[in-house]
Amino acid sequence: MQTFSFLGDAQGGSWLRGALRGSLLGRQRGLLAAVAGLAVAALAIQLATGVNFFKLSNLLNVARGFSTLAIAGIGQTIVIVGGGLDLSVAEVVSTGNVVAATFMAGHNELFLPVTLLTLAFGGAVGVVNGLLVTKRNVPPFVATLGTAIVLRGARLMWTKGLPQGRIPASLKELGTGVTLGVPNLFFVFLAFAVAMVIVLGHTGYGRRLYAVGTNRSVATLSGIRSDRVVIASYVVCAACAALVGVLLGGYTGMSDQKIGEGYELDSIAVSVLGGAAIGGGSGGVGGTVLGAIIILVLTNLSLLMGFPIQSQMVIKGAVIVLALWINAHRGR
Amino acid sequence: MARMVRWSLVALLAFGLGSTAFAAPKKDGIVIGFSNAGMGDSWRQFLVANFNAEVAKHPEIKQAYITQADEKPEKQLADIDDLLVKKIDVLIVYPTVADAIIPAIEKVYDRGIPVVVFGGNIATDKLTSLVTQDLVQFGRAQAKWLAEELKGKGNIVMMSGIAGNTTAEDRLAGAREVFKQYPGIKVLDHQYCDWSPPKSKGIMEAMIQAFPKIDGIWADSGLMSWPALQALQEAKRPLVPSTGDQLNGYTKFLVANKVRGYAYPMTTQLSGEAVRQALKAVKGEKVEKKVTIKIDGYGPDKIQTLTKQDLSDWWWIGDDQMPAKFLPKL
Repeated sequence: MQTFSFLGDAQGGSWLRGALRGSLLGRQRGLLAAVAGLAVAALAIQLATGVNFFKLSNLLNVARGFSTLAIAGIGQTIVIVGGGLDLSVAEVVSTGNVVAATFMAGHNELFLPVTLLTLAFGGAVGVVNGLLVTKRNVPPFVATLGTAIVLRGARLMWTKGLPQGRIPASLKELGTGVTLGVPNLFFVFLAFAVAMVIVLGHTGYGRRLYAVGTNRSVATLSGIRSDRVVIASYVVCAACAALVGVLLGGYTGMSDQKIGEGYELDSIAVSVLGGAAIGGGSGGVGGTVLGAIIILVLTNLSLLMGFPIQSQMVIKGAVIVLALWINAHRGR
Repeated sequence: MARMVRWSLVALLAFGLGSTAFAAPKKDGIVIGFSNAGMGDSWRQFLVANFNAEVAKHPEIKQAYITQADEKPEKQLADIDDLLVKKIDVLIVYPTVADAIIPAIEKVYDRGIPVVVFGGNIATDKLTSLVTQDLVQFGRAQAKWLAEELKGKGNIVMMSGIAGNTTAEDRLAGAREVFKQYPGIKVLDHQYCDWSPPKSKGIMEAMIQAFPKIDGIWADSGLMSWPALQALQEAKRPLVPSTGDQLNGYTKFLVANKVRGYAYPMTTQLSGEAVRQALKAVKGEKVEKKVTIKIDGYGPDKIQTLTKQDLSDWWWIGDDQMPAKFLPKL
């Protein structure tokens, strides 16, 4: 009870607002407006150039790419809300991919147990990150970067740099197939996102995470076991990254040592774009989802219009800077 | 006490130096040092396998040391220093970043030790031989095959490696040069896909949406044409002729789906040629300053013959012509 009232004060909001914090409609009006603006722009582009973003097959492609990015982004958001940052995401994705392909070895019956094993592996990496940050007071940037380097080295030592194993047909079906016209990957995202909305917005853990991210000392003084809360956030983030590694294996149908490249920064980008503040205390599932939609739609549009792929970097950077600028301006 | 410790350390140091000097082995064979850029993929494993297989053919080689630099130039500089300590007779280098390790290469060359560099161009004359393959020709050969396969007419998409990377840009330049000679070939789009399968697949998915008719895929590597073909297959579009390299996963896909393709090898046999040039240099024989290996691409028939359906996707077809004991375990 004490924790609950503290949260309300710290966030300056009501119980209802706290409950909605992780949802789409909480504080995301600006992002929703941006998504609507993008839809209008896509329509205008279609009328002017004939580039059809709204073609069903294109939307399904975007949904596939969106699903893995959004899952990694939500994991990153949970860490950022708790006041941390995880730069080991890309290496966990790659290592998760290799672990899954190696131990599944093309056998359908091993799909589920090995996926669970891979998630456990991700969780273990998260425990290490969390312990370094909380018990040894290593800054998150340094701790997770160190973990990333160790992971990469360990993976290369283990595999001698060689891709391992084979992706079973069941995982390929999950990564490339559709059910009721919707990519299977999107269903995985949906289930995960709903679970995370509940965890962040409707559980004691979610409330404690926001409290710790807002002011760790005060949260600790008010009886929250801040270290455990932070460690758990890293565990969730790394497990998300490992899951993305498994899903990307299904999408490409192969094991790839570098499959996670770029995910560390992309996950931070969609999280920050979605309103998560580096330093903690704010951010949520809804914002991250909208951030991922904005990035994916923009990059897909640029490709459809024949812009070079490098323009994606410019777009991502510009959108993030603009979003931060607007947030800062609004906060003044 | 402190004085005793100090004198003990001095004595130990003197003993160490003395024993090093006297323990230097008397040369009864050639010692080769190979500073490799890294071992981070199966192509590098084949590169080392071909190196070892070639070394084994020459009984005059007493010892071959291999270092790998994790793709870090600063580590490669240290690796080369380590190899010098081992009294090598010749240094073979596969550069991480060519410009960054020029000082080390020049230092070794100035000491009178032959240096053979392979795997890319390097901006110094202070080396004994540069063993390379013509990367512009790489792109040319792929483009020529594709243009002729399409009988000089069709809509194609192009996929390159990393923007600005010499290998990718040389291959692209060669391909563009050829496509210019075929006015009926229309390049719908060109994208850099970073030799990344997931990125290539995502980009191809967008290309499929943007262009209703794609007749061919020019990709400088199987790492891109393979996922691009997967994307076509998943979109239920017809599979089209494509180009790539000698990656078994790519050629397995071609063979399994009975689709025509062309594999131009980025050969790992460069390392074997580097060993041969290194031995010539040590023996005082004439060595060309630049040795360009002649490569023949693999058309559909050759691909059918060379592809190993039962082996790893990451096998490199055609580069496995060596005794089994040297082949990487994939």
